[in-house]
Parts: sequence; structure tokens; C-alpha cells
Amino acid sequence: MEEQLLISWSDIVKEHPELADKDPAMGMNWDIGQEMIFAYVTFLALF
Amino acid sequence: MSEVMNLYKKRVERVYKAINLEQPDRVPISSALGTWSSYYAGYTDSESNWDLDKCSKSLLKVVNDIPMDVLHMFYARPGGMYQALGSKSFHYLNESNIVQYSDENAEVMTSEEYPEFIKDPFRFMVEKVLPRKYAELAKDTPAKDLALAKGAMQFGMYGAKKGAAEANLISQYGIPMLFDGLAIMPLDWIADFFRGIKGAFMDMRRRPEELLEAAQALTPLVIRFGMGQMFSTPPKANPKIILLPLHLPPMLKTADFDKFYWPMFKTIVEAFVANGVIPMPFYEGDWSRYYDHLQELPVKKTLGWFEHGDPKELKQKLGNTMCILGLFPVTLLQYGTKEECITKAKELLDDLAPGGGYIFSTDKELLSAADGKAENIIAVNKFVMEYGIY
Repeated sequence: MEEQLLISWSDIVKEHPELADKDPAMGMNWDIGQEMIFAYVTFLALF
Repeated sequence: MSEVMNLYKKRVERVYKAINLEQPDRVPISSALGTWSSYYAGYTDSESNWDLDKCSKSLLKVVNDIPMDVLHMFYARPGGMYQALGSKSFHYLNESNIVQYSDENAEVMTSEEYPEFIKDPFRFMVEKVLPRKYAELAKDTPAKDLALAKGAMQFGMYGAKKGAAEANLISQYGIPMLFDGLAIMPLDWIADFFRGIKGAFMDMRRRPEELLEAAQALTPLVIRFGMGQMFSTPPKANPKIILLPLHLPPMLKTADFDKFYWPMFKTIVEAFVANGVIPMPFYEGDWSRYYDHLQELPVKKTLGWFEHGDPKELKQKLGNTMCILGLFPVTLLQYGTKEECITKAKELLDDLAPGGGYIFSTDKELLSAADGKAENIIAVNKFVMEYGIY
């Protein structure tokens, strides 16, 4: 089984098809903890 | 309202009137003093990265001594985080120098890996980029898990120190910080951090479609990364501002800029604006051949920080589109006399201040100890506060 790293945007759209045409940035009301992990990992990949 | 909070309110109003292309009571002054602040306060850049309180103390000393309306940012890097993870990206030439970047160490992705990257850039970053950039993350579990957790603790502490520094600047001196976060454009991200600049330029010729698809695939991540910072910082009365340092365009042919850079840049700027955030691109180098492009950006919704350019041409071509700042040469603060600095400031104000929509600023961030004489900075800012009254 493939390891699930984080909930991807595409997985969220599967659950909420009404969000399909929304920009990922609109998802900031998901869960700030998840966003912090995203920010941390992205920060590491960047700087 | 206390005197300090009254000052804070006036400064914020001054800055946002300029952003709205209105005429404030006088030209606002934005100070881009960066790591120069550490040296001014008696520390080194490396000391401030290891001990973040030294960055906070440096900022407080700077705003105490130098007249200004707004300070750019909390400039230190989280050294503890990089140490916990075994970073290979940055190093110091010596203890008293600023942190150095290496293009060779930036090449953590091969040109053959584009298809995998395009398919899922975030997964690629986690699985491929991070173990190559950080020695501790290349180890087996549980060593790598522990390193990631240690790094996360440092990252969280960094955010807390940054927030506390901003609160201290406001409560003690009434000085706001300009930026609430930053984001890097897709092509710069690929060139500076994944392929190296030489690699990215080779890809532009040998794998143009893959490079383009990679830049397109990164675009939503750039927006999410930027918006995440906006939502995770405390709410503010006015729209938050995100810094967008732009690196490659002056080195690109215009046709390549049109293909690999501009579409993604415009999308990202428009996405931030649509979400109530003000983008502040730092137009590094000479952008004069792109002014027509920049006229397409949302009106009164961005701040343009310019390193080079003719102020008259800038005002004429972009003055109705965006608030302009920059152009004052840091080299003059370093090598010029007080009189020469003031003469240059007067020239810029004469060209850029009329009608508003202008914030006084240097053409770039001050970094090393020698980047500016404090007496010149103080003299120039005092002059702008007097001469810049509308």
C-alpha cells in the first residue's frame, strides 16, 4: 500500500466535488495544523 | 489611545494610502535593513541565526535609532532547524560573513526526473528533494523521523520568536512590519533550489516543455504556501502583504519570459489579490523591458519594489497601476557623503512623490556590515520626513 504523506488537494476534491474549480489557496479553512505541516515541508524544500 | 499606538496607526495609514495610490500626509519610509541590523547592533549574521533573540534585539535597536515608518521583516534564518536536519544548502565563508548560497548544492534534482516531479511536485519534494538537501533526512527511520520532529520544533519556535519581535516593535515603538510572508515564483524555485541556475537554463533549451509543465505544476503550491503564511499570522486591520522576490527575468530573453515566467507570475499575483492579499514583487535587476507586462497587473493592488530603472519612466508607465518603492542605491549609503545621499533622495522624491503612490526605500536589502553607513541612512530618512511632506 502506498504511504499517505498528507491529504492532497485531489483527495479533498474527491470528498468535496463542489471545490473542484477552487484554487488550492481557498482550502485554508481545512485545518491549520495540516497547513503548518505543509508550510514546514515546503519551507524545507525551498530554503 | 497611547502615544505609541497613535504613531503606529498614523504610520500604517500613511503606508496604505500610498498603496491605494493616494497622497498621504508625507512620503512613507520603508526600511530594508535586513542582516545589516545585526552588525549595527554588535552581532554577526550567524549569531542572529543561532540565537533568534539577537535578531529581535537588533530590530529594536534599529527602530530606536533610525527614523522610519515601516520595517521590512524579521530577517534571521532558523539556524537550529538547519542544524537539526543536516542542511547542505547554506554555509558561511567565515564567522563574520553573511550566509552564502551555493548553486552546486542547489542542484538536487536531475533533468530526467521532470516527469515524476510534474506528476506530484509535493510528493517529489518530500521523497526526493528533502533527503538530498538534508543529511539527517537521508537516514533510516527512526533517525530521520526524530530529525524531522526536531526541525519542526525549531520551525515552530522560529514562528513564535518572529511574532514576538513584531509585537515588541509595535508595542514599544509603534513600528509595523511590512511583510507577513514571502513566496518564490515557480521558475525561480526550480532554478534556485532544485536544478541550479545553470541546470534550469540548459533545461530551457533541451527540455522546454517539461520545464514549463514543472513551473505550471508548482504554481498551486506557491499560492498555497503564500496563503498559508497569511492565514497563520495574526489578523490585521489592513490587507496583509506578501513579498515576492523575483530572480531570473532580467537574465531571460523576452520570449522565454513570456513562456516560462509571466503566465505563472500573473496567475499567482491575481490569486493573492483575489484572496485579499497585497503582493509586493521585488523586481530584481532591470525590468524596464517588462513594464508593458506589469501594466496588466491588478490596479492599486500591488507594491512594486524596483532595484533599477529611470524614476520618471517608472512613474509615467506604472504610477497608475501600482505603488512604487525602491531605486535609492545602497551603494551610495556605503560610499557616498551625507550630501550626495540627500541629493539623490531629493531627485527620487521630485520624480516619484507627486500625487502619492510612492514609498521611499532603498533599491535592495542591506545585508553586510559595510552595506551602509548609519549616519547616511539616518540623514536620508530625516530628509525624506521633512522634504516629503505633501
